[in-house]
Amino acid sequence: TNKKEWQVPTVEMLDVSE
Amino acid sequence: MTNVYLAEQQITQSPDSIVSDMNGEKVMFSIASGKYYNLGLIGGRIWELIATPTTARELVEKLLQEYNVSRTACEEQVDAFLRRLHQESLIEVRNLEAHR
Repeated sequence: TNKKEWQVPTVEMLDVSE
Repeated sequence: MTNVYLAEQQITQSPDSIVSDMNGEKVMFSIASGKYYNLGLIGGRIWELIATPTTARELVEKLLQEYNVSRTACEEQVDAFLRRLHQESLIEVRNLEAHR
Protein backbone atom coordinates (compact mmCIF):
# COMPACT_ATOMS: atom_id res chain seq x y z
CA THR A 1 0.00 0.00 0.00
CA ASN A 2 0.92 3.66 -0.44
CA LYS A 3 3.16 2.80 -3.35
CA LYS A 4 2.78 4.57 -6.65
CA GLU A 5 1.52 2.88 -9.79
CA TRP A 6 4.29 1.48 -11.96
CA GLN A 7 4.51 1.96 -15.71
CA VAL A 8 7.12 0.53 -18.06
CA PRO A 9 9.86 3.18 -18.38
CA THR A 10 10.43 4.17 -21.99
CA VAL A 11 12.70 6.43 -23.99
CA GLU A 12 10.52 8.10 -26.59
CA MET A 13 12.32 10.01 -29.31
CA LEU A 14 10.38 13.13 -30.27
CA ASP A 15 9.98 14.43 -33.80
CA VAL A 16 10.37 18.11 -33.12
CA SER A 17 9.02 19.20 -36.49
CA GLU A 18 5.71 17.63 -35.49
CA MET B 1 20.45 -9.31 -10.48
CA THR B 2 23.67 -10.75 -11.84
CA ASN B 3 22.43 -10.66 -15.42
CA VAL B 4 21.12 -7.13 -15.36
CA TYR B 5 22.90 -4.67 -17.58
CA LEU B 6 25.15 -2.27 -15.68
CA ALA B 7 24.21 -3.96 -12.40
CA GLU B 8 27.63 -3.38 -10.88
CA GLN B 9 28.56 -0.28 -12.82
CA GLN B 10 28.09 3.27 -11.71
CA ILE B 11 25.56 5.20 -13.76
CA THR B 12 25.00 8.92 -13.85
CA GLN B 13 23.32 11.50 -16.07
CA SER B 14 25.26 12.68 -19.08
CA PRO B 15 26.00 16.39 -18.63
CA ASP B 16 25.32 17.06 -22.32
CA SER B 17 21.57 17.30 -21.99
CA ILE B 18 18.99 19.95 -21.16
CA VAL B 19 16.02 18.63 -19.21
CA SER B 20 12.58 20.13 -18.66
CA ASP B 21 9.81 18.85 -16.42
CA MET B 22 6.43 18.80 -18.16
CA ASN B 23 3.64 17.65 -15.84
CA GLY B 24 5.98 15.19 -14.18
CA GLU B 25 7.37 13.84 -17.43
CA LYS B 26 10.99 14.55 -18.25
CA VAL B 27 11.54 15.96 -21.73
CA MET B 28 15.14 16.37 -22.70
CA PHE B 29 17.35 17.70 -25.46
CA SER B 30 20.68 16.04 -26.14
CA ILE B 31 23.25 18.66 -27.06
CA ALA B 32 25.51 15.95 -28.45
CA SER B 33 22.99 14.40 -30.84
CA GLY B 34 20.52 17.25 -31.33
CA LYS B 35 17.65 14.89 -30.52
CA TYR B 36 14.69 15.37 -28.21
CA TYR B 37 13.40 12.64 -25.90
CA ASN B 38 10.48 12.08 -23.57
CA LEU B 39 11.30 9.80 -20.65
CA GLY B 40 7.76 9.78 -19.27
CA LEU B 41 6.86 9.61 -15.58
CA ILE B 42 8.82 6.55 -14.46
CA GLY B 43 11.74 7.33 -16.75
CA GLY B 44 11.75 10.83 -15.30
CA ARG B 45 11.94 9.44 -11.78
CA ILE B 46 14.81 7.16 -12.78
CA TRP B 47 16.53 10.19 -14.31
CA GLU B 48 16.22 12.01 -10.98
CA LEU B 49 17.64 9.02 -9.11
CA ILE B 50 20.77 8.95 -11.29
CA ALA B 51 21.51 12.64 -10.74
CA THR B 52 24.24 11.31 -8.47
CA PRO B 53 26.23 8.23 -9.49
CA THR B 54 24.43 5.01 -8.55
CA THR B 55 24.39 1.38 -9.62
CA ALA B 56 21.44 -0.31 -11.32
CA ARG B 57 21.17 -2.53 -8.26
CA GLU B 58 20.73 0.48 -5.97
CA LEU B 59 18.36 2.06 -8.48
CA VAL B 60 16.06 -0.98 -8.52
CA GLU B 61 16.00 -1.11 -4.72
CA LYS B 62 14.86 2.52 -4.55
CA LEU B 63 12.17 1.98 -7.18
CA LEU B 64 10.85 -1.10 -5.37
CA GLN B 65 10.36 1.05 -2.27
CA GLU B 66 8.40 3.67 -4.21
CA TYR B 67 6.38 1.71 -6.77
CA ASN B 68 3.96 -1.19 -6.80
CA VAL B 69 5.95 -3.55 -9.03
CA SER B 70 7.53 -6.98 -8.70
CA ARG B 71 11.29 -7.25 -8.44
CA THR B 72 11.52 -9.33 -11.61
CA ALA B 73 9.50 -6.89 -13.71
CA CYS B 74 11.35 -3.90 -12.28
CA GLU B 75 14.76 -5.41 -12.98
CA GLU B 76 13.87 -6.43 -16.54
CA GLN B 77 12.27 -3.10 -17.44
CA VAL B 78 14.92 -0.92 -15.81
CA ASP B 79 17.51 -3.05 -17.57
CA ALA B 80 15.96 -2.33 -20.99
CA PHE B 81 15.53 1.35 -20.13
CA LEU B 82 19.18 1.77 -19.12
CA ARG B 83 20.33 -0.01 -22.28
CA ARG B 84 18.38 2.48 -24.35
CA LEU B 85 19.71 5.47 -22.43
CA HIS B 86 23.23 4.15 -22.90
CA GLN B 87 22.67 3.61 -26.63
CA GLU B 88 21.58 7.24 -26.92
CA SER B 89 24.58 8.41 -24.83
CA LEU B 90 22.23 9.96 -22.28
CA ILE B 91 24.04 8.33 -19.35
CA GLU B 92 27.66 7.94 -18.37
CA VAL B 93 28.90 4.58 -17.12
CA ARG B 94 31.90 3.89 -14.92
CA ASN B 95 33.07 0.35 -14.36
CA LEU B 96 33.48 -0.21 -10.63
CA GLU B 97 35.50 -3.38 -11.23
CA ALA B 98 38.36 -1.26 -12.54
CA HIS B 99 38.54 0.59 -9.23
CA ARG B 100 38.66 -2.42 -6.93
